[in-house]
Order: sequence, then structure tokens, then C-alpha cells
Amino acid sequence: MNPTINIVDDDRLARESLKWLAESAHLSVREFECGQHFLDRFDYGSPGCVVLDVRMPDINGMELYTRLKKTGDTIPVIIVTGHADVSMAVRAMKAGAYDFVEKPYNDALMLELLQNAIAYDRDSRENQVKVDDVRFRIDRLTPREHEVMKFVLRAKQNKVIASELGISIKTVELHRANLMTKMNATSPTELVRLAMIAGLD
Amino acid sequence: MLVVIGGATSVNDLAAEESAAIRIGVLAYRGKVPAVERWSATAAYLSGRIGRRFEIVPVNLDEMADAINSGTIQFTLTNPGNYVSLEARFGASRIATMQTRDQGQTRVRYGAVIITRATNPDIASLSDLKGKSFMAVSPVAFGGFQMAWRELMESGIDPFSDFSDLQFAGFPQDKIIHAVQNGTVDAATVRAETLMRMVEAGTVKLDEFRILNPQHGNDSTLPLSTRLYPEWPFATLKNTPRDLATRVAQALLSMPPDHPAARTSRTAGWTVPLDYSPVHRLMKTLKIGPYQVLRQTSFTAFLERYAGWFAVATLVLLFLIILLGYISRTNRKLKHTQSVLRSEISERKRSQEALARYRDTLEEQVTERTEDLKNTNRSLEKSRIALRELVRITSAPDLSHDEKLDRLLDTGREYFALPVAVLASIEADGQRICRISGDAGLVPGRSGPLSDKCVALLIEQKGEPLDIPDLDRTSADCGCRQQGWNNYLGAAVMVDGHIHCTLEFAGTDARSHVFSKWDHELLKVMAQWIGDEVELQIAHEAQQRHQAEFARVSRMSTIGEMAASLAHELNQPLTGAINYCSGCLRMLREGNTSPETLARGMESAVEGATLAANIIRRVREFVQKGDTQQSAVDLNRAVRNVATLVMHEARRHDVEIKLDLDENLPLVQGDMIQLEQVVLNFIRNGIDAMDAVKSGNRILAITTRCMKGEKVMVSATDNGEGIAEEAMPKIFDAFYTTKPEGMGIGLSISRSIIESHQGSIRARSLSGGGTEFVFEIPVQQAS
Repeated sequence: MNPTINIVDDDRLARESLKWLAESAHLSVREFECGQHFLDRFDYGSPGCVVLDVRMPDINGMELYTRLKKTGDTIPVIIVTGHADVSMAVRAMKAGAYDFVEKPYNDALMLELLQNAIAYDRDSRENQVKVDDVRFRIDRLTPREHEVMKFVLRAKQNKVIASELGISIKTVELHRANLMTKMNATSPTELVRLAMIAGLD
Repeated sequence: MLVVIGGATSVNDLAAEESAAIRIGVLAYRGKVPAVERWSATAAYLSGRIGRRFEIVPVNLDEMADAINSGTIQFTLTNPGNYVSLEARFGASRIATMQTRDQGQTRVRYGAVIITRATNPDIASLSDLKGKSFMAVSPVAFGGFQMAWRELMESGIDPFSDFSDLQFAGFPQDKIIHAVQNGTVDAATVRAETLMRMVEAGTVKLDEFRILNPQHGNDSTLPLSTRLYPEWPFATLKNTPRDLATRVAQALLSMPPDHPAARTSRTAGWTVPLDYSPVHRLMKTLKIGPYQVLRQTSFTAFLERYAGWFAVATLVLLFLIILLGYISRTNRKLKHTQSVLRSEISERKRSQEALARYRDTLEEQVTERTEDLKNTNRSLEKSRIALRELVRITSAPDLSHDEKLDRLLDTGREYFALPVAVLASIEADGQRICRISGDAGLVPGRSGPLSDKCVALLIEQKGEPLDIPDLDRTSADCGCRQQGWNNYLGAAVMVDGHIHCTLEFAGTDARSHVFSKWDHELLKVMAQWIGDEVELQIAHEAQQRHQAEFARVSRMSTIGEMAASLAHELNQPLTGAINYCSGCLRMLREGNTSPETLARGMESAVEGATLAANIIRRVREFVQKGDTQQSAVDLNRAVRNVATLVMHEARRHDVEIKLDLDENLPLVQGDMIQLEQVVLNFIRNGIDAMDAVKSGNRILAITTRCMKGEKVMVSATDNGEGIAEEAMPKIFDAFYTTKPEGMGIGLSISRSIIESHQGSIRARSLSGGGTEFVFEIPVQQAS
């Protein structure tokens, strides 16, 4: 699926000119005339980025950004404003916007920003695939294997694990072998790396 | 013999004294027989103890004094009040004080009660007794009246004047109590024990009575209305031997309380003499006994008694003094009037003499003056007509400045009967004619005043008229002759204390008559009025310049305040144009875009750039057009222009501007730019006023209307917070502002603009919140 730049601006000239600029750099663009239009028709979960104008008659840019975040969509958002307002920029960045741009903007910088946003989106999506994979594998572990894995991650030896859990060393070795297979890990080091990807402590 | 007789006498006396009975004077307040019965046992006791015969002599108060005086008695036993008197008068001295026994208690002091019936609702305290009937034992009874008297006096009641009835019932006191019980009297006083004795005997009940002025905090268990006073004293007299007195005192003090003699006398024996100063204080308060003297000599009492006579005497004296003063003043006035009259009479005599002298010359003077007056009247009438004409000219509203000056010169020429009039202004490089009236042919080609020399004189005279009736004769060197003038009249025109120009009239013929004083006055008036007119014109021009400058500053500041909005408005199309251009550039570099596509991009870029250019042009037009230009103005167009200009500012503040324009609005005469400025100020004020209003409800309505075909009205109504009542009178003042960034010139410049258009401007707070700003301008007259 091709990444798309979603432009939300009520001003026709501003919207269409940015589309023109983006398309000249072979980027695919979708236009939205107002905030409600965007909320109704945006293809949630699709890759790319969103460019939001701060001042719009129905829902202003900041409000729209908040509502988009609430849906859980992680697409990067660039906020554009006609008159620089430092406090608004700070608020936008704090809320997690990808960037904040003031009109009139340098066209080359704008294009670069759009491409960076798209790349960032792609990277985070790929990363998410990996995370999802590791989490899926962890979910398949039995409770006992999960317990043993925690000890392995803390670099405990089998006999320590056996005495801690009150089971025989042989049983520990069996659980350990199974969990390494299920996690598709060849060494404890790799297991640690996988755990980090999954965000385990 | 004599000696023997004397000695025998003394021995006999002594023997008689030894054998004679010792007499005790006892106050017999209940009669002599009961007194003897009561005290005989005590006398017998003393006889037994001392070895001499003691006798009781019952006496009343008067007899007591006699008995002491005559030396009949050696001792006295009396009540405390009487004792204090005897102490003062005869040097009686107490040697023991009686004790009584009551309810098992031994007492040495006693008091009295003031009682009323318990059922009597009118009397609750002593002061309520005023006007009531009262009963007591006797005026001289100490316990039976005087104790109560003191309490009454201290409550402001004089028993001898304030009661409706005061009865003294004597003994026994029982009947007094019965009198209160059965309502014969309203209140009464008795010794405290008397009441308690009757209560104990069951004759009366205590709760039948109300004790007035109850006393608390004393050592007695008896109900009391008065202070306590020491009991009866046993006193020795001045001539009684001291050792006898001592023995009697010892005998009395050693009498046991239950001795038969004590019981018979209803006492409980005797104790050491007490302090009788409380009794003294009572006497002093009541001014009785030894203190009776106070009653007679008290100056205040005297005053009180004769107060009426004093007042009358004082009034008579005062009246006499005032009468005396009045008479002497009248006398002085009369004397003064007399002297004035005298001097007036002599003055009048002198005047009469003088009058007689003048009367002789008067008649010829009258003839002379009448002629003068006629001439003056004629001149006056002439100048009155001219003056009226001048007033008509200067106050004509439809005449311009130049027209007024021309008319003034014409009128002057006619009045003075001189063919040419010239008004020449004084410039740095000489003089220049600014107005000329009359036969211009007489001054062909002249650009300066009629006569340079005369003008120099005019300037010297600073507004005083210069009148040269015959130049030929008076000043040959004046220079006027060269121009052919023989007859010249002129004055300098002063403006603001400086000579501004010269006013000259001239003719070629010699004058037929002399100009009067009135003619010169009229010339001065003309010069003054021309000066005023010029001054007015100068002020008017200065005001217009100021106003134009002020308006320009205001417009600049308005634009400055709108800078943020304008920047955004410009950014929008500029960003668009840039995006299109760089997009096209990119496509051109790749080289595979069709010319049609590129053209479409370039067209859009041009569209954006044009939009930006239009915004800039609008701002420049608004700021630059400074000169006032009068033309027929369509206020609807002015409103639309301004609404477009502030469109972005309004959007930024989320304000909706609603136009309600009268499409048949007549034109007004005025300056389009200035009127736009007023509308702009109204709108910006409205936008600012609605800052506090909830977003989405900010509506600014601009309305134009034609009022009865005479005026055009423009109003701006906001639904903001309104103007505080106290601020309302000041809002059109310069530099008055309630906005943090405002300069306070917007509404002030608006007012001066509207006033220079002969219009009116006002603001009012609306009842539902918000403010309405209105201006009205007269409709342009079809010329």
C-alpha cells in the first residue's frame, strides 16, 4: 500500500498548491476540506502522514489532532499555521505532533519534512510488525515457561532456578529448551534482545 | 458659821447625794407606765450591783431635754436618733448598747421594713410610692419612721410632699401593719422585728406583704428595707461622776442575757457601746436633730424657695438695661441725622446759587447741542444701517469666506461714498492685493496697496483709522497724488494682535463732507470684522490640516494593530503561489510534464500572487490617501469596502459581520476615506468589545438607513459587554481608552470627522448587553 499525504485545509488555494507541490515530487495526496470531512473519510491505519491547518472554521487543527490520536491511529501529523504562535507550537509538540510549520514555508523544506514523516511512519510500522511477532510468541508460552524465561532473562543458572521454583534441574532444562524453541531464540542473548523489542522488563 | 454651814451644806449635799436615788431618764415612747414597767427590773439590778438606789424616770422627747438641763437625771436610755441629739447638745456619752434576742439570735443593730400588700400591682419599688398613701409611727420615731425616711429621700421621694396622704399612727405598730393588710393605706414602715413578731404570733402572714427596697448582704436574717442602725444606747451625762458611770457600765455589761431584768426589759443584756456614726449620717441626710441647722441655712434650699421671685427680678432688670441701651442709641442716631441735615441744607443753598448762574447760559447751549445731536443722529442712523448690513453679511451661513470679504468691501464703499476699496495682505516681500472692490479701472495694473506711504502710516497706527480728506492740501509728499487720489480713508486689520492686512478706501474727488467720529468707528468695526473673518478662516484651515493628519495617524495605527491579521491574509496566497511555482520548476527539471499541466500550475500561481497584490493595494490605498477630497459619497460602498478590509481580522476574532444596507440610500457630501475610517473604527471597536463573548456568538451588525430623506444613518451594533455607565460620557474624548493596547484616538477622530460633515455621533448601551454606535450625516442637497 502506497503512503499517502492527507492534507486538511479549508483554504482551497493553500490546499491545492500543497497538493501540486507534493505531486510534483511524486507523492500521492488526498485532500480534505474540513475537519469533519477528514474524520469521516480518512482511511484509518493507512501509511503516510497528515498535514493539518490550525485555523479551520468547524474543528481547529489542534482539536482535530487530539481526536485523531484518540482513535489510536499513530500516523505522524504535521501542523501548519498562518501566524506563528509559540505557545500553540509548544502545545502541539508536547501532545506528540510530528512537526509544526509556519506559513509561508520553504517548499524544499516542506517536501523534505513530508518525506521524513513518511519514512518515520514506515519505520515505526515495520518495527510494530516485529513487536507484534515477539508478543505473539510470548503469548504462546505456558505459565511455567514464562516464569522460567524471567529467570533466564536475569541470567540465573538452572540450579538456582530449580531451587527457587522448587522443581528438579531436569524439569527446568526441559522448560528452558521448550521456551527457547517457541521464542525462536538460539541463545540467552538473543532472548534478551527479543524481550527488549517486546518491551518486557 | 458660814464655813460650818457651808461645810454642813456640802456634807449634807454629799449625804443627800449618797442617799439620793440615781435617776435614769428613759424615752417613754409608748407611754410612761409601760416604760417604768419595762425598765424597773434593770434599775433594781443596778441598785443591787452598785449599792445605790436607781430609779426610772419616764420622759418624752421634750421632757428628756428639760430633765437633762435641770440635772434631774444622771443617765439616759433613749433611741439612737435622740441619743445623737443629746450627744451634740448635752455631751451625753454612751456606755453600753442594748442587745436584743430574736429568733434565737442576739442582735445589736436593727432596721425597718417598708411594706405594701403583696397583691398591690402598682408598687414594686420605692419610687412607685409617689402619690400613694403612707403610714408610719411618728415623725420622731427613729425605727418607726426616720430610717424609712432616709431610704425614701435617697429614692427621690420627700414623704412630706410626695405622698397623697401621710399618717402617723403612733403605737402599737401592729395597727399600722393591719392598716396595710386591710388596704387602709398603700404602704407603711415599721421596725423589722415588729413584723416578724406578728408573723411568729400568727396574726399575719409574711407572704401577704411585699418588702420594698429589700436589703441584702447584711448579717441579719430579718427582711429589711433600710440599713441597719445600732440599738438603743445607755448613756451617761456630762455631770455624772465618771467612776459611777464606769461601775454602771461594768454592771450592765456583766448582766447575763437571760437575767430576769433582761427578760423584763425585753433585751438580751448589754454590750460595749457601738459606733453611732450611721445614725449621724442619717440625721445629716435628713437634716434633723443636730443637723437641723443645715435645713435653715442651705443656700440652694433658699434659692429653690425664692426661685420665682429671683427670675422675675432678673427679667425686670434685663428689660431695663435693654431699654436704656435702646434709648441711648436712638439719641446718638438723632444727633448724627441732625448734623447731616445741617450740612445738606448748606450744600443745597450753594447748588441753588450755581444753578441760577448756569440757567442764563443754558439756552444758547441747548440750541447748539440740538443741532449737534441732529447731525449725530443722522450719522448714527446711517452707521446703524451699515452695521446691520455688516452683521447680515458676516453671519450669512451660505456665503464663503471670499464672498463675505467682497460684500464687506462693497458695503464700505457705498457707506463712505468712495469709488475704490482695496484689501492688501502684508507678505514678507511687500504687500499684495488680495481683494479689490469698485472701479478697478482707477488702479490699473497695481498689485500693491493704493498708497504705499499711507499704508506705512496705517501700520504705525495699529488699527486706528487714517483719514485724509484732502491730500492735495494736507500732504503733498504723501505720494497719492501720483495715482490721482485726493481723498483717502484706511485702517490696518489686526489678527491675533498682529497686523495682517490693510483696508483702504480712496476717491479722486475732494470730499463733500467731513467724516464723523461714527464713520471712523464704523471703519474700525469693519477692520475688526474682517480680522475676525480672516482669523476664523485661518483657524478653520488649521483645524482641517490637523484633522487630516490625525486621521492619517489613526489609520496607520489601525493598520499596525491589524498587522497580525494582514500577515496571515498575505501568507495564505503567497504560500500558494510559491507551492505552485516550485512544483512547476520540479516538473520542468524532470522534463516529462505536458505544457498544459505546467500552464495550469502557473495560472494558479498567478491567481495567488494577484490575491496578495490586491491585499497590499487595499492597505496602501487606505493608508496613503491623505488629502481630504469632498465628493458625493455612497456610504453603502464605504461600509462594504471596510467590511472587506477587516474580513480577516473579524475571522481571527471569530466575529460574524452582518450587513443590513438600505439599497436606496441617498448620497452624502463628504470625504470617502474619512467616512470609511469612521466605519472601520466602529467595526474594530465592536470586534474588541466582543472578546469576552463566547466564541460562535459574536455578531456585529452594520446597518445603513435613510432618515426621512434628510439624513443618512450608519450604525454598528455588537453583542459585547457594553460600556460602563461612568465611561459613557468620555468615550469620544481623545486618548481615553479602556483597551490595554489602544491609543484612545479612534472614537475621538471619528467624532471630529462626523462633526466636520455636519453630522452627529453617539453611542448607547443596549438593554440586552452590547453597544450601538451611530452616526448621521445630512443628505447631499441637489444643487
